Amino acid sequence: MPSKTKSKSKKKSSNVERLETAGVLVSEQFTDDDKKTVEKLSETEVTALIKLRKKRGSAPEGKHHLRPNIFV
Amino acid sequence: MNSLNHSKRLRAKIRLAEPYLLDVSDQFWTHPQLAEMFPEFLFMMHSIIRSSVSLINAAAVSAQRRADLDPVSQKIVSYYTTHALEEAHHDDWLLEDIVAMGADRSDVLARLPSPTIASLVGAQYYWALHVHPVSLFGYLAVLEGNPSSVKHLSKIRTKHGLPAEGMRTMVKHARLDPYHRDEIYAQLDELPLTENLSELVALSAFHTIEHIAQALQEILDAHRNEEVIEEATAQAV
Repeated sequence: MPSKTKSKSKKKSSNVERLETAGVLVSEQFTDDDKKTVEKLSETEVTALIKLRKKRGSAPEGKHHLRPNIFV
Repeated sequence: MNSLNHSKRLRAKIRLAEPYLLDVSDQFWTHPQLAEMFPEFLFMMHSIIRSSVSLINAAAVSAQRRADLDPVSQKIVSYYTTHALEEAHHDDWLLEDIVAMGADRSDVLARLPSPTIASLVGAQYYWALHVHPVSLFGYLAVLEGNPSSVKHLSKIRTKHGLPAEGMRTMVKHARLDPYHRDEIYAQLDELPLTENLSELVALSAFHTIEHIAQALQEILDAHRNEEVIEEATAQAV
């Protein structure tokens, strides 16, 4: 017989929270619309972004980045 | 994100992933010995674009096979067919540039590309043939989505003393890719993408970002290793 003790379900983190914790984004730099966009990411997409972050680090903010001009 | 069109959604997703590519790209293009690494960069590029026409055609055939039952496939067949024609012989242009810089043509063609490039392109075949050919939009959006300007390339060439003949194909692409980028995103907005397919396109883009960054990192690492060996040799003498 299943226990009647109700375990409190842990509140699921939002995508923004998870990605910020993983260092993928800085939420202060995101508008509300941006955040809504991020919340629509699927679980697979969020996981892929977190894995990428772990592998490669992050780019410095506020810098004019040089594009690699990789082409097909 | 549902209020955004497909192209804006994809751009937003790419923006989240691309710092990893921009980081290593900055390291590469600002490296004081860029000129020494530049031939390796061209070889890496050639390893990628030698597959372009075959890859896009494979996606076109896969889309054609599904077209009767799948509206997305139906819409992308002609785009892929046209785009494969647009990309034809670009690998030959780049090979000419590499040869003009002093490499032997047969050596370039015989040299084995990095497994990273095989993983980059190989995944695209897998997705296009076995999952859905729309996946290639993620790959194309990353590769053609941020073209350098001719002015920017000229600055890099002057700063690092790169030979003009080694950059002819890059300059041509700086002129062509803004149109290709616009075509990709316009075409994407025309597609009746499901959430599942939208996710597939994003995963393809993330995979492309990861592997291009890795390929650039390999060039930087190889150069650093050569420097270490040279220093050790000089000290031993």
